[in-house]
Amino acid sequence: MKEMRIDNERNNVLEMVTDPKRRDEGFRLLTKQYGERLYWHIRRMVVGHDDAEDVLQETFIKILNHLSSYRGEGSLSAWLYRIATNEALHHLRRQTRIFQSIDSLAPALVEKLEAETATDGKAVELLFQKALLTLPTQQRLAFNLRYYDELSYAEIAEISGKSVNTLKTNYHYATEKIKEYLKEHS
Amino acid sequence: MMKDYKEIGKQMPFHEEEGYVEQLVERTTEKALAHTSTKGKTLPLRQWAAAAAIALLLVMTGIWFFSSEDEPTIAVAPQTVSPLDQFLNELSDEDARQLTYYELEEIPEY
Repeated sequence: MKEMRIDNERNNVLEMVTDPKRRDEGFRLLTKQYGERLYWHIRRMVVGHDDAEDVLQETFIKILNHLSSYRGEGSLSAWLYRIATNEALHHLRRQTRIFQSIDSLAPALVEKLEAETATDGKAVELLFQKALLTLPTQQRLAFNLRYYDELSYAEIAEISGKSVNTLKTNYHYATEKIKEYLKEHS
Repeated sequence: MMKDYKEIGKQMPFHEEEGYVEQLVERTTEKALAHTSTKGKTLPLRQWAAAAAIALLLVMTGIWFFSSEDEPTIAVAPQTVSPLDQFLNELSDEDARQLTYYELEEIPEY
């Protein structure tokens, strides 16, 4: 029943956005349904408050510009997450020097995390986020989507373009590294 | 004893004010809609600018082409030079001075 309701909502939104007269209304409905999830997914990737705002803006523009190219193949949410993920990765890449990997941004992201952590934030939550930032970007991405967004491996595969087996391996290594980090820093 | 990360939960250490994300989503939605609508309006302006640039290039090319043609010349009869004038023109300064100071006594009698 829940799946049927989700399908009906998706179809409704898709019908609206493909109709020039109802496109704006459909887009507003789309962002209302998915906006908050996309924001937190982006925020977990780029960490900074202002960065997340910028990336969300770019994401929404991209979604609007490419709505006509979405043919309904695969889930709508995976398509939206893929755009958001790509924009977040582009944003991170712009902060690197030539030939430098996104993974090398970890120290800068940790610094940003500490600067933006609320004074009443729990130390253990901060430690957990630091552990995540030590992971290679692809492992961090797989972990975030699985743990926080509770997506299936099939959906994550749609988003990331990786195979389900690769993602399962990534997730396994990520959890091991997180546990080790928490143990060392507790 | 350190908790397992699952016990830590999904709370992020940074918080946002209540309603912030909802308002952000609304704001960015409207900006995205405004962005795509102004993009449609500026396209003809860009086309006009491109057409003007091409026209200017053609005009400048035409001006350059027509200004580089040779000026019409008036035919002039070639000047003829007498052998004597040619000889005198080819004399060095020293030789010319000797000619000027030539004296009768130097001509041998025969």
